Amino acid sequence: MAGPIRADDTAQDRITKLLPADVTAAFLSAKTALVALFGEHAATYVFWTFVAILVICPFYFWFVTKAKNVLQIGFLMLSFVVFAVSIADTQFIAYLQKLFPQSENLEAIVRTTASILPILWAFLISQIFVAAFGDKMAVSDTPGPAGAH
Amino acid sequence: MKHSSAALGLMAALWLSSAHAQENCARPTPVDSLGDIKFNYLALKSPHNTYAIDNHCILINRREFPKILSFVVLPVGSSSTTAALYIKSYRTFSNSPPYRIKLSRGDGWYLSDSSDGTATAQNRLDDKPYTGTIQDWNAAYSTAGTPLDFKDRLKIRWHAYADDQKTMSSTDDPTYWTTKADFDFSHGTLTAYLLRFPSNSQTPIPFNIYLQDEVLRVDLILNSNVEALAGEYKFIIH
Repeated sequence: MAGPIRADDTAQDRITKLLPADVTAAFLSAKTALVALFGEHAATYVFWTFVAILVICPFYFWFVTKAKNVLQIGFLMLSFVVFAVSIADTQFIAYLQKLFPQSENLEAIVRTTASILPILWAFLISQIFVAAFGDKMAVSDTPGPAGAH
Repeated sequence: MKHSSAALGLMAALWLSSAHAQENCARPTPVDSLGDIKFNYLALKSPHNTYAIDNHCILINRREFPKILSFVVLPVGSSSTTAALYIKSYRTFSNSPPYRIKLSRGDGWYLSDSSDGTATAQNRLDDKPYTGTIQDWNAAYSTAGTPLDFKDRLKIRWHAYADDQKTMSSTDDPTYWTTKADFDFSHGTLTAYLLRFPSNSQTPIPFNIYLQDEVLRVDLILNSNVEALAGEYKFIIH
């Protein structure tokens, strides 16, 4: 769950908080349901469901999971994009090639991205991001002085 | 010289793309599996991916389909127990192909040429050339006849019955098999297929169209006793 990163979190905890399992699971469920309902015509619905979730993401992270660091929210949203492309690469290709029918390499680009990027993202990019910006994203648990506002 | 060739190439590409756009050609719709196809009966499989054919004009990327178009006919509900599918594939080549007409037949077809009239199962036939002329071929279909009649007319054992009771014949509508008047056989081949399968089968039925390097376009016409399995499609290879 994408909660706020705390100063005493381990590196592993911090990485976990940069991978939005909750919204990714929501998108996976929605995609499965839409494909079951609309079959080969599901691409448009899946793509716009992805866009809708992406738009809702910052509000969800800010108000629900209480992750109130812009860097963390930005990275969480990018993580969602990476995993969404991996989950629904077929539907994304179907939707995008309707928009760009002459693009010959679109399918190869999306398929390659969908298979390679999530692995790099989870095992390399997240780690580098935590090492570089982990402390900037961390909030202190230390309570303020009594009566402070 | 180089610049003029490049300009000509660019103009040709623009003309082709605008022509395809005018025809509303689209790439085949990728799906995760055949089970995801719910509103169409024709699918295409490449070595890596599966596609639904949900448009009447399809752009085919030769890198994805280098040598063969592997089609799959998906199960459709029908009241008849046997589905017979009659396919005509007109391939347009950039050169002159060696044969004008080729014939294929799947499993489960019957013919009776014994004196007692008993229907016997026929062997598969894969891409067998018809050696007569286009005029001979069309003349053979000018009158109705049984599969045995057409065996004599075409000099090839191809037409048959889809059931051993001999109630469904591939020659029931002889005019279907006549060739398109506007097709240029000096740069093209018609391949005709007979496919037969139980109409309540849940098994996808495959058939292949060979895609030699010189093939530019494939026009596919399907006809069947199952109404849902009829249609016409155009595949532009690039």
